[in-house]
Amino acid sequence: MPRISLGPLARYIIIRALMIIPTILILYTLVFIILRIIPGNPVEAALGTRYIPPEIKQRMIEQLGLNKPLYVQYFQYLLGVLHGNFGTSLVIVGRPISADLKNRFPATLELAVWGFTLSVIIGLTTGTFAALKRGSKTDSALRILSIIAYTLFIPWFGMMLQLIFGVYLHWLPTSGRLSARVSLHPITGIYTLDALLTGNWPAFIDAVKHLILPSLTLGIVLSGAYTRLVRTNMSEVLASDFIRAYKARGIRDRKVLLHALRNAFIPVVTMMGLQFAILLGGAVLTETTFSWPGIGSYLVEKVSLRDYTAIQGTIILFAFFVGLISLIVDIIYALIDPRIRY
Amino acid sequence: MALLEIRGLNVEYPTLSGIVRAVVDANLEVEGGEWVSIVGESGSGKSTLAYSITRLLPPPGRIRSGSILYRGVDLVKLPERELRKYRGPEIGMIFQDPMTSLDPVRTIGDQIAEALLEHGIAKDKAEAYSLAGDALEEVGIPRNRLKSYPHQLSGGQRQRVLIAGAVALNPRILIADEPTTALDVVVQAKIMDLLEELKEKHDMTIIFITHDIALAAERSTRIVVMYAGHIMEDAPAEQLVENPLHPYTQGLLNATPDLWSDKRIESIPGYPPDLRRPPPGCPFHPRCPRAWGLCRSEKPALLDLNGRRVACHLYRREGAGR
Amino acid sequence: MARIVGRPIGFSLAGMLRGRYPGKKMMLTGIFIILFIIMISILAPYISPYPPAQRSVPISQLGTPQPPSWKHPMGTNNLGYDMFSRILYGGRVILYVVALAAAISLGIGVPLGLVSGFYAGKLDRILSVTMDSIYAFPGIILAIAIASVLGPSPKNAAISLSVVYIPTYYRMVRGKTLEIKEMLFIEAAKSLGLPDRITLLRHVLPNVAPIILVVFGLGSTDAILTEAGLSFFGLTVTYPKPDWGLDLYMGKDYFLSGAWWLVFFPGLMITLLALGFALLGEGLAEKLEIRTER
Ligand SMILES: Nc1ncnc2c1ncn2[C@@H]1O[C@H](COP(=O)(O)OP(=O)(O)OP(=O)(O)O)[C@@H](O)[C@H]1O
Ligand SMILES: [Mg+2]
Repeated sequence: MPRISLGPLARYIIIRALMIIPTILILYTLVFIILRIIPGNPVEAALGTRYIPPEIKQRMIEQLGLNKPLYVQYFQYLLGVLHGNFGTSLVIVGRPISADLKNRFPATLELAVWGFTLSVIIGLTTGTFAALKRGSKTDSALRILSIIAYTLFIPWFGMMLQLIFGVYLHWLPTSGRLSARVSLHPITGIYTLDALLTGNWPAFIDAVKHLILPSLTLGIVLSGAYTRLVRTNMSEVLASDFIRAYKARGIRDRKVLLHALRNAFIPVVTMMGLQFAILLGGAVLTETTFSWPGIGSYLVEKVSLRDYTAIQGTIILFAFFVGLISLIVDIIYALIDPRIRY
Repeated sequence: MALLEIRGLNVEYPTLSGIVRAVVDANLEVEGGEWVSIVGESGSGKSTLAYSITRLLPPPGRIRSGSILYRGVDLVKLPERELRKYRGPEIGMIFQDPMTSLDPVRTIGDQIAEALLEHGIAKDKAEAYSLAGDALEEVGIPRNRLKSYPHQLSGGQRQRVLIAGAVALNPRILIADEPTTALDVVVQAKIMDLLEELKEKHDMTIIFITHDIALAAERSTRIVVMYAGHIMEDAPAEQLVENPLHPYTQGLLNATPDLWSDKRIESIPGYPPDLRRPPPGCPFHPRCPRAWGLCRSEKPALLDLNGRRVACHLYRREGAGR
Repeated sequence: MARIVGRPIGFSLAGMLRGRYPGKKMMLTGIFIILFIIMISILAPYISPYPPAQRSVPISQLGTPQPPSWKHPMGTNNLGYDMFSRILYGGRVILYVVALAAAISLGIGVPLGLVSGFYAGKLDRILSVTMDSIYAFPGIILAIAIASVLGPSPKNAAISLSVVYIPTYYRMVRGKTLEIKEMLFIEAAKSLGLPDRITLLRHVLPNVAPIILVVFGLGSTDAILTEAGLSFFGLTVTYPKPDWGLDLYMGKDYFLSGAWWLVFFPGLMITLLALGFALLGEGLAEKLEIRTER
């Protein structure tokens, strides 16, 4: 591991963090504009054809600040978000959205992390395998499979897994995060972690069982991109001079392969930010398919209720999440590649 | 028995457009303590010959036939696991491009120490690092550089690191494939001095590959000239330079600038043959100023002439008597 | 000098079928899949055995999905609709939406990318940052938000998709434009005093065109999957209009009790269509030696 004095790294992190702000602001602005395109105002739109006495409607509009000039709304909401206040629901009047998001977010985080980890593992192994067998039948088969993986429609693929492993084989549960008979004391809301923290093995195993199918769905679909990148990088690295130099010093194959992997992995890391964003998109579909109570299925529920403030809040939370992940990826990249100067 | 004995070696690269015969029927003996230089134009098969010794040919290269006896052991037939024990401690290698021959994401200390541990030369990590530090100092790099990454070093320093990595394992033979080609002239001379110094100190045998016959002449005990996969001439360095027998060697020498005379530099006209479709007879005949009938039809054998060898029909009669 | 910029593209069907080149098999397979799906969608009214949204079973069977049989090769759903007929019709909406979205994204993303990359001024910087931000955000989430505001309709779904995919075209085109601009021959064209418009159309666009084709193939793969997602969430059409994504959603409540045919066929068609475009894009990328991000 490279040794890093804290000074420059801290600076690097701060600069990277600052660079994410415009991205989040732009997305915020975009979402703000989109949600103001609604004819009339969000309250009218949310109510649809339901009748509500005009004075109550007026009160809702005032409560939400929708009568103020647009730019005031823009900054007021932004300020609120920075204080963790995402506004209140249009449908369940007065309910703070941040409470819902806080409830739901750990489920998405857990699913995303598991799915992400699986996709990287699957991609690394298949990609390395393809590179080692370059030009063989296995190689071309893996290539086609990686393309197919990417084109799988997530809800369909998820349902097929549910059919096979849930309905026919009865191996795994097909929905939810925990069986009703299992009790777990929540700490973080990330069930596998909570189970470990409280030493609750039955709950851990049950939570993992619930996680397998949804995270495998995401993992397989997302792995294709890694398979191909790793294959290309690995083939290049394996043919490089320093690998030959290792062999010339008599280093055993297994170790040489590990060194090659480490080199091939670095460009993969740079791709992870974007991959994670794609994964979050997939999580919305996965959560709906597996009745997974995260912010993705929350978004979909709120869309059908036309609860526009909740939609706005959820998307902004997603934007922050994506921004944070790309920051983390940047930091990891700087840590594992000694050539990065910061 | 010679330290290294290459017999009837044939190496080829099967490609989509045909089989490249990169080394053809090579015979070569290297005695302990020698500095043998292999010279020839680009593509003549020098590297291929060198890499086949430890079987590190780039794909799709393969040894088609022949044997390579290192102290009586045929490296061609040795299983991969056994051969690995020879790579490094018995036969070390350094390469042309120091910029790409070190793992960019590991410290140079890690890379040198790893091999010391692998071959059991160091018992533990601490010893491995201390030996690696010694090796660095031996090549003129301060030991606090152990923690440096390759990108923090210059090209010359990196080549020194690679030499340190190879020499730390105490090999009997060091194969150096154009180790100075990528460096500037001043650094080049220093690296050559270093190699010579280490050779004496560690009692190594050096197989030195270069396309620069003048560079080879400086320190070699013997020079082997290759052309189109064939060994054309093999003689003690002085004799070869003073009195080159093969027309190709003569051409090579004429193409070399000479500081002390203002003779004209003449490059050999024409190009080396396509190794997928080598010409019949002597591979050099299409470019040879002294080619005659037999050269076009019959491949000349490598003839022994008073402790030197040459593959040329011009010396046929003399060779026949011996 | 033009030689270094890359081969000009002359795509003729005959040229594509003849000769050997990398990616050919993939490309042709992709085209075959896409054409096949377009064909069944066009021919649906003539070849489908039943109307797609009408009961086709006796009243007694209503409420219970019927498994595949000779009369109903892909079974029927709880309303007694023939799934095979719905599959034949079900590609029409998605094809329409994705074609419209591709047209809009191309029509906006390509010129924007060309101009932005060519002049590389302040506007370029603002545009790039904006486009990068959208690009880095999960496309389907943004599309869901936009579609939910605009309301469920194919046209609105197309608009939502466009917002998401304009950046994809923009980024690739801008990048390539910058690259080409650096090349000598554009300098030459400039010094000859040609108007920018001519330089852009005659020299830059032809060299950018191959990239656009690849982005079209790969971008459409994403667009199909995203549009299927919108349909799945009921943001494109309303039931009982036949649509693969929506049918998949409707089957969700039944397949766990064994009615696999309600979800298997619609989802398979979506994946097949996406695969068609992916193979086309990959094949093209390989033929044109363009390295893709995915
Ligand atoms: N990996 C390979 N695949 C196919 N042919 C190869 C490969 N490596 C080398 N060759 C061919 O084998 C022949 C000998 O190559 P080699 O690298 O041994 O020559 P060289 O004398 O070392 O040349 P240079 O001075 O350029 O290093 C050349 O014709 C070359 O084209
Ligand atoms: Mg060489």
